Amino acid sequence: MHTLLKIREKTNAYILTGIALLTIVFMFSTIGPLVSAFDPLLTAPAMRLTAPGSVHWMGTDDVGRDVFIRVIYGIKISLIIGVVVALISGITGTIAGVSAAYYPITSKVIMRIVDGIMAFPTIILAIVLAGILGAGMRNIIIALSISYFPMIARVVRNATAEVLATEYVESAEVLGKSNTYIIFRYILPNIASPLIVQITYTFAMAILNESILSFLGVGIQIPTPSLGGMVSDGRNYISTAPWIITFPGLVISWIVLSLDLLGDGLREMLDPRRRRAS
Amino acid sequence: MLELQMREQNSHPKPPLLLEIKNICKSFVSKNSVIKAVDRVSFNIHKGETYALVGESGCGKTTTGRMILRLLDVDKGQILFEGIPISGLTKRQLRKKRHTIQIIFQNPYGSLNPRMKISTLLAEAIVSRAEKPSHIRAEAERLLQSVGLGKENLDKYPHEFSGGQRQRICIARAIATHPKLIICDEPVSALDLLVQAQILCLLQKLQKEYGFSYLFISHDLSVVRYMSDRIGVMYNGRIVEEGTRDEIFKNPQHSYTRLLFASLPTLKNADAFAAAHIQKDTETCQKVLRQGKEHSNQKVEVSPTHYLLADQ
Repeated sequence: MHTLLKIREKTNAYILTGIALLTIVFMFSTIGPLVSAFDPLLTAPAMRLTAPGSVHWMGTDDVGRDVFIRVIYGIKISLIIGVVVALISGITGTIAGVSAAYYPITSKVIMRIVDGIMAFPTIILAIVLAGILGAGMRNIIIALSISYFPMIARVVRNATAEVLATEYVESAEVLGKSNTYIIFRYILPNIASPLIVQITYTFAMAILNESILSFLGVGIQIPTPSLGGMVSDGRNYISTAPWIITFPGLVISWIVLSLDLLGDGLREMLDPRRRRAS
Repeated sequence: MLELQMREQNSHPKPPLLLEIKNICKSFVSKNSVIKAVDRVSFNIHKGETYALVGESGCGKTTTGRMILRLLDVDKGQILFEGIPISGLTKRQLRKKRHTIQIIFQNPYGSLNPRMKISTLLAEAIVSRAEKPSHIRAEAERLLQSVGLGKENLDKYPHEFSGGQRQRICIARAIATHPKLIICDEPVSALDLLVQAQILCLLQKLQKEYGFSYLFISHDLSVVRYMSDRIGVMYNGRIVEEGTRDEIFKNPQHSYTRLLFASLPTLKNADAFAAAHIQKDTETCQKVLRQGKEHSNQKVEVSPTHYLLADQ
């Protein structure tokens, strides 16, 4: 509540820009299927590599599919993967982080696992996991969630440890409050800020990495449209039909940029140091 | 004045014991060293009494307070609260007993959950009582009024208050559980002087009203003089001198106690003499520090209520 009250006076240009850019993408993917009559999977060899024009607004690819409608579907898949990965790794990371900060023995086990996972570069880990699990949307979500939960667990653990050291948590202990009460009424509300910021970044990174996985061929399988997969397919025609790679590439940059702006803005707004100074 | 008070003390039988601390020790182990934070500390607090622990920062007075609250466990020794050893309580029993000892922290900015309204902060303390009142909100209003804040403040958040007001809220929270002992850990040292006086008056008023005991932890002698009935002077984890307030203030025996008084800035020595005083104090201090660890376990009795640890 207190945060909500403060939001209006503290909302900054980053947050507004981020939200505006995201809204545009979202509108684009919602309205798109209504105004375009094409099927994202329908091939039309006669129309292959048509330049953008009044019929195919973003041109066609090497088998004559409409790039516009494929980008629209690609955005949907990217956003779904981003949201689901952010939620799953957010929830598991929070549980792991809080219990690590609370119970020293669990801490050793959990943090060693987290360190182990974090020792691998995220994308390589995701490739390996996607390779083991097999391609497909569900497996990408699993692979990316496993790759991103350690970062959230670490942020949550540090934030929780900071809150646990405060006198207000001690005052709750002295009142005889249970651990569950302290976790839900004291810890979670007070670590919400860094957690929200980290989840926003995870959202962006998941979308980017889904594209990379699809680009590398271990992500969303053809012919399902995905932004990364389209960039990968368009690579061979970059000199003759640059529109195949340009539009999905631009959209990826657009989404990631807007989420990063949103994350930066949230960080600035919710950062405890700035909050204290104001 | 002194005579009068002594007569008063003699005429009344001592009130029953509330807290007995027997030879408690606590060490903190870091990678390279063991720090004895509290070393063989013993003292008693009677019902309705204010016992002050004085000493410099790091002398172990806060650690002692935290052990009484069982935020820390003792290494050795025993803490008896109303005759029951608190270290023997299981977690469950402890949680049920918690409300009988409360604490007021030094930093009023860090001791209230920033995400809770004042009404919630008070309500969660009120429900910790042994017997819950039926109208929690009315009780919260009453508590807030008894610490000098209006009931219109109930729906505000802690960041909307000044330091002094926050400390009043902390006090309201501490008395909300109907405790028998309140540990005041430097409760006024983060506040400016005018507010300090107001808070101290409030603490005394509440003590008269509710009859609880205070363990008053402070490094500020003028505050201690105002608040306490008996004083324990702590140095390097040990109580080096203990006596009633007047015994300590009128007849300090231990060199460290004397040093504490010498380092007390007053308006008299705040002028041209200050430099000379500081010089002298530093020398005394170094001398005392050299003696530091050489205290024996021998108690030298000055009067039945006044003792000090002998230097070896």
